[in-house]
Amino acid sequence: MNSKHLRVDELKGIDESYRTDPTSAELVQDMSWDTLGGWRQCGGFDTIIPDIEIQGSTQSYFKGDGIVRSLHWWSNRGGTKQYLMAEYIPEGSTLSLMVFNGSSSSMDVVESGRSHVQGAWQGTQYLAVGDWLYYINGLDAPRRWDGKRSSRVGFDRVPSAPWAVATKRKDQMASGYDDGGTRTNYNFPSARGVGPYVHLGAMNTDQQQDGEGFVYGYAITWINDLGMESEPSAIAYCRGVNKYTAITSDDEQWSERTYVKVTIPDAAPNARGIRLWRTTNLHDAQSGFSAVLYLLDEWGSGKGTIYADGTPDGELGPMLDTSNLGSFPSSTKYMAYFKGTMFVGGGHDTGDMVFYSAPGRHEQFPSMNFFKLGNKDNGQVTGFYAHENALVVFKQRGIFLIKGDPSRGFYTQTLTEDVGNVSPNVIVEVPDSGLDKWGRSSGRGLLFLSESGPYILEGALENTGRPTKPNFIGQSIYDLWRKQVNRSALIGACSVVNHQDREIWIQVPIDGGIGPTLGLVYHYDIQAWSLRKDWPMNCFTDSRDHRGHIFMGSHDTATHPGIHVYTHGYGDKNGVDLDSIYRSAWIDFGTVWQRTQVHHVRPYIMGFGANTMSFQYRGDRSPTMIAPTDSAKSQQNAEQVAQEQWGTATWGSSGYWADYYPTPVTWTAGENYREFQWEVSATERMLIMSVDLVVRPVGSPTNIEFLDATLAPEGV
Amino acid sequence: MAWRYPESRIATGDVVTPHELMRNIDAVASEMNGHIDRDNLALATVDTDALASGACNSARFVEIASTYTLSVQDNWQVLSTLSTNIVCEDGWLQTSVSLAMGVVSTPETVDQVLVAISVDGVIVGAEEGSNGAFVVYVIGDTPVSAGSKYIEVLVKRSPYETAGHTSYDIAISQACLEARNVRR
Repeated sequence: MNSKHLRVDELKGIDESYRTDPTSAELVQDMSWDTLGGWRQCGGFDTIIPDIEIQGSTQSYFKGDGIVRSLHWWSNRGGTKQYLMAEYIPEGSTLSLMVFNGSSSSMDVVESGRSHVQGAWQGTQYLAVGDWLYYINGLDAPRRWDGKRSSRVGFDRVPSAPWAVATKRKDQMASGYDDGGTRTNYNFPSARGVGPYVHLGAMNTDQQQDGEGFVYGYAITWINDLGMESEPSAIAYCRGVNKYTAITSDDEQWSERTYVKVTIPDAAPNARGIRLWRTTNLHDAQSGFSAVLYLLDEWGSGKGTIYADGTPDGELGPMLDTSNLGSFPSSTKYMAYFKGTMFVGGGHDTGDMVFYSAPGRHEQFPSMNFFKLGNKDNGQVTGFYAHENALVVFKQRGIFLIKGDPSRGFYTQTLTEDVGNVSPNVIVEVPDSGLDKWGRSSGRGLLFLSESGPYILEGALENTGRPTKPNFIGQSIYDLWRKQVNRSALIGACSVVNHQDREIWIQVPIDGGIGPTLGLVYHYDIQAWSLRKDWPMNCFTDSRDHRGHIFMGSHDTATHPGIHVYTHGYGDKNGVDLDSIYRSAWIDFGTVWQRTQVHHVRPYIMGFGANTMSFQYRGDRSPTMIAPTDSAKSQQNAEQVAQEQWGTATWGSSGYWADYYPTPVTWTAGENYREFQWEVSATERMLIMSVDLVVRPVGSPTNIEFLDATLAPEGV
Repeated sequence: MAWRYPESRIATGDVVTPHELMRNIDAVASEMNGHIDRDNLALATVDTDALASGACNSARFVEIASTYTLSVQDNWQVLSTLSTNIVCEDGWLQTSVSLAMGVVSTPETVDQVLVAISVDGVIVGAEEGSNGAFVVYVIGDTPVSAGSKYIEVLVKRSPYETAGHTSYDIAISQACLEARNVRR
């Protein structure tokens, strides 16, 4: 029988299905999908601050530092100022929030003494609001930083109540004599006072004897540097009496009016102002009367003071509206900013609740502003994602939407109470890549990790005819997921969108380990997976500017300490070779009754030059790969004169510039197999786009009737 | 954080296109075109000589920490806690002093006092006030050459006082000196 030429023009990603097709791969490792069609070697990494040579030895800037616990890139001032933040333990210090300082090629300390969890942990969460970067971790007080200074977020407690007492020394005052006599003022610049001030003639005898009483309540609130206000203190009440005295030479007698001495204690360290509030005179208030507070005075400082209150009720300021006040919910771990409102959740004792701020006051959390999502058995809130139409709230076993806006109010919708997210740092939006050249849409949605694998939440999150639902996208890597991934430590998984290579990189812990070392890479243009093994990266962030750099924080403090940058400009992993492999799926040539002789395997690769790639193959599910004697071959067309190459050519004289082009490289197998698998690998750069197999069936063919086709309904 | 890292890598044996060879250089060149920021400039890259005239000033502010008692006499007495040095560039030195005082001698004598500012021993401004008037404010501007200048605040009995007291003590409860060098 003549040989046949079989071609696979589109090499897909990993598919671990028991029965798959020849376009799939068993392993794609350290590769990226090239948008023009093909798998090419991925980038490498190196430290963001280059190693330096000192007296012949290489010195790493991050040597001796601890695990990078978190990483975040952000900008403020309209993008003109950019910051790379990281949390790690600098040598000899404590866990510190650091910021990259390119001017001195170093990292500067923003804040030290921060807390962390030794085991799997979601780490510090970051959120840029305005010109501030908010960061919370559920352990330390929530804080924010603007590039110059850090400050506590909101207030964690109500102010101490002021101390108010009516002065014993009454300050007499008289004004507005009926007869137009001399006006006499004492002490008060404005000649006023608290309490009743009534002409003696209007009093009955008892009143004249006892005087007129007054009762006032005082409270204070704090203001921080963003104008956020604390809850009011407890109300401190004060009682006093204005008596009567003869102050004129004629028969007119007027009541005294007095003042109240209000002692205001120092405010919390992050307070930048104090407001003093007071009730009207409650002397005649009914039992059970709810005190209403009005603004009495305010100071642009957190320093306590003593205030002499002689303000009549009619001169009080606006009423205190406590419906917008409230402390920042304690121990919350996650936050999002949606429709001008801050949402936080995942608190230690309130793990299933989401709290939200007052509108436009994103550090004030009124006590009634919360949602209790799902049931307790949905687990804790595990992250937010602020979409244009809704805030997506993930729990360990549930997905909820928060919709609405501050003016009409927020409300919740339950999407599912079955599937949820277990990796707060993996939630990423999958870019919409439109249709590929085969007419397929990668869709658009939110990628997240459940305990059973990766999902994409598809749909527009509102009623547009396109249902919003989670779709499982981990079928093709499910064997690896259930056998290797350490699902108990997935809270420490992380991800990043690599826009340049159009892929989503998810780092997961494996084999009982806590630090993520395996990269699951989702190539969203072709909806395919590949792997990156032995990448000891604990956290990711990307520079959201024209550079598109990806930064990675390492948990391998011995070999790759510190912060690294991922780029195709580096050809290895900080000195360790990349291990790029494309291994085909098992290609089934027929049946157990028929074998096929594989003459040649001829991958089409990019002719990068003299650097080699290696070939192996095996058959019939053999555990052992066979390497032909000519396993390693140059990545160039053997039938043509080699192009000029870097390192040997001399441009400007005999050398000439060239561009590389696809070229076949042929290896001979010559074995008879029922199932066949081939593999190419390289440590230098490589790009493979398709493969030809030259085969010849051997033995007597037996026609196989496929039952699923035979039993198909008539006409199908 | 405008550091750029290599975007392409060329190894020995690679076929090379000129575009690929230039890619890393292009990246740096594009960064120069509007993306240079503080991370690209090493510490002390820019000193005052690199700045336009008038763009950089040095300034000093000194105040007394506690009440300062001084015996006012016919010759200048130095209010030593306000004395300071300031490093100047060629240009102007603007100085001012404000002080609040009262008489502490017994019996209390209210007289005219003279308060002055001197730069390297040369008086650049003086003001007469009464030690019963509490506050005296003096300003003095002078051209200066580059170098360190020594500023002092001086107090003496006014030659125009008529009460005839030859000396008396005053307590200066608050005083501050401000100095600012403006480059030419």
